[in-house]
Amino acid sequence: MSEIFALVEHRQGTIRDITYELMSCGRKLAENASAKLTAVILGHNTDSIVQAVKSQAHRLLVVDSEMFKDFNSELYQITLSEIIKQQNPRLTLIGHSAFGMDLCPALAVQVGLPFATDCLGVEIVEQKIKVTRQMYDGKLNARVLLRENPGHMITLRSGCFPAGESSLEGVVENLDITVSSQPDYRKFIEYIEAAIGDVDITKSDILVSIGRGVKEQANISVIEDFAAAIGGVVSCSRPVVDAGWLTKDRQVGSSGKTVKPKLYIALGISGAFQHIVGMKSADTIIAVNKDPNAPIFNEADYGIVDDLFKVVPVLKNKILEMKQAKG
Amino acid sequence: MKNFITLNPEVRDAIIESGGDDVIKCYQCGRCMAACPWNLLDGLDYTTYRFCQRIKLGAIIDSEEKEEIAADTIDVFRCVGCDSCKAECPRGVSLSDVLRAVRRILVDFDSYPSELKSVVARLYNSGNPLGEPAEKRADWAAGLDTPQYTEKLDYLYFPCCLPAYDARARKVAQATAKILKRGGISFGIHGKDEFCCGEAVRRVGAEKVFQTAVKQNTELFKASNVKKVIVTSPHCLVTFTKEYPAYYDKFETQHAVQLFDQMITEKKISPKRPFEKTVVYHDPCTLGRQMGIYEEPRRILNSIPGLKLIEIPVFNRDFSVCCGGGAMGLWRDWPQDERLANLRADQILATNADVLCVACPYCLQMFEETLKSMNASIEVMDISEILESALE
Repeated sequence: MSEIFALVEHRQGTIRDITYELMSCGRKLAENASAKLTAVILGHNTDSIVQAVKSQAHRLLVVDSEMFKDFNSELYQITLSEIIKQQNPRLTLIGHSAFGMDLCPALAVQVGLPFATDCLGVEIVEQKIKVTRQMYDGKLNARVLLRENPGHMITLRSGCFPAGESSLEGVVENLDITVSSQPDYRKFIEYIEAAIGDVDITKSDILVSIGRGVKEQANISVIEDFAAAIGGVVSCSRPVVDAGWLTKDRQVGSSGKTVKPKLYIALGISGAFQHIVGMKSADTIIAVNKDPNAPIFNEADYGIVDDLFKVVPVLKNKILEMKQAKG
Repeated sequence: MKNFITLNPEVRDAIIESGGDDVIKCYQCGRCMAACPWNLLDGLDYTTYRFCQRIKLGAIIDSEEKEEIAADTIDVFRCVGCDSCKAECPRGVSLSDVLRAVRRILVDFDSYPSELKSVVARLYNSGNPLGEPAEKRADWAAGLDTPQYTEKLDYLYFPCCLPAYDARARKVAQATAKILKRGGISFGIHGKDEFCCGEAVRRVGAEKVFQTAVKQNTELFKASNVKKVIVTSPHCLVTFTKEYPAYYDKFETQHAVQLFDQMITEKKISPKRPFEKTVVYHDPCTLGRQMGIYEEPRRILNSIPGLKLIEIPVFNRDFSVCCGGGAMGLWRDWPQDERLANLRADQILATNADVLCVACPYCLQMFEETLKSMNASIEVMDISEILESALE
């Protein structure tokens, strides 16, 4: 019976979401290939982690040691290479997170396994591992067949495999692997929390972006209401930041952020190319501008030539109506 | 600030090898600092005269303190290459060339401003700084019936990346093509096969990408046997005239204003429709100081009936102040009190002109954005747009 391994990723005692995505992907693969899924846990005082993961896999391999309290890719690499060499899993799944990116390439080299990174999809076809990866800044999906080998490793992109409920009763096996000495090159020092800005505009599916046409700071609340009503976030072009109405972290463009939301609503933005390079990859662009010659209309999928303050309330009501009708 | 410096001949030699040999000529008189437009801004001291001496000692970007390296890097990448300093220097030192040599080393180490990195990458990958597809490069000419260039035609029109792609600047390329047609000039375009001339990437120090641009364009020019090129951007003009001949020199380049001026003199076109406005002309650094083209645009404007041409007092011709767009300044985001365009916009607004006339796509964009932000009613037009509107 072949096995699929999935590495549990945790930080400061909390299991990272990617773990459940790996598990659901792993279970599906195991089912189709009549294999078993094994969750691999490296940690310290792992009881709560074991409890949380138990229902997700057929088997749990646990290495509990003070050394694994915090993530250290070098320690992980030494330990995992031992486990992989002993157990020969058919496939090892690891998250394509900062953690996985740090760990996997060197691990794959050490254990000599074919390896693919940042995979969006994975299937086992006639005993071969086939993965989907992106190329050219996401413009192409490439299907890649991994070299035939008894074992393989891949890292999975987060958000591509929905986490799912499962009612397995994983058998827990404690492994006693001791790493003889402290690693030479890396030492865990401390956690530094990222400064929390109020929003990250690159993460939003809907951006309501304002430009010079918003005229004054007092008007921004109208736009914020609109954005909130349609589930979006407010971003802007440079003049709005220059005027001090919004902070720099909301700026879209060459000297601000590059965004790719599903919907980008440009209100009163003329569309200087420095702005355009930051938002042209949005799936759908709606532009509202009084000036029919504004360059933004060249980029927009839909354009409205009118005063944004006339358009916004109508749009807002219409969207709310449609949302209510949908329940 | 440390109070001693460490001599580092290796750094000096590397910079000189990268093209910074002008440093040896400098005797630190300081005229460059007086001429540099950055020092016209209140509260900013851009100590340009120190660069050469520091390089001679190998004492630049040599700190181990992050903050000091960051401050040095800001200074090295501040210069927009307007050559105001070179025009004043008694020894003819080109600080923009000296700083370009320093930048080449920083770019090799990938240690330069991130917004510039993305422009360089876009240019390398798609042939233009906007990252637009090559297939769309001739879209500006839709409906204008401009033929593909072949050697049977007299001129290749090379519109520069901004007029090829940017919705506002396209109007400049369109006006230019219309004027050329009106004057019966035989010309064609290369459209999707063109690559950016590479002027700006070379100035920021990305020499390898510049070499790619040179290769693409010279091979294209060779294959189609291009003899004469007309450009809209004076940045293309400087590069084609002064830098390309080191690689390929079988073609000549003219800026559109030179050809327009000639066409008017030869009566191939005659502006008859009045343009009843007061127009102030801004000399682009690359067209003026770097190519010495001052009179042609003025003669064109003066030939248009009803047009009243005025000058920016003092700061015209040789003393023109840069819009800030050169050397990829277009893509930089300086704090508001450190923007050359704002400084120049104040000088422009003080003339009370109805229209600001420019002859460079960078100036067009910089001033249009800046003046809009100032809620100024002055209109910004390229010289080709004004001339085209005056042709019946």
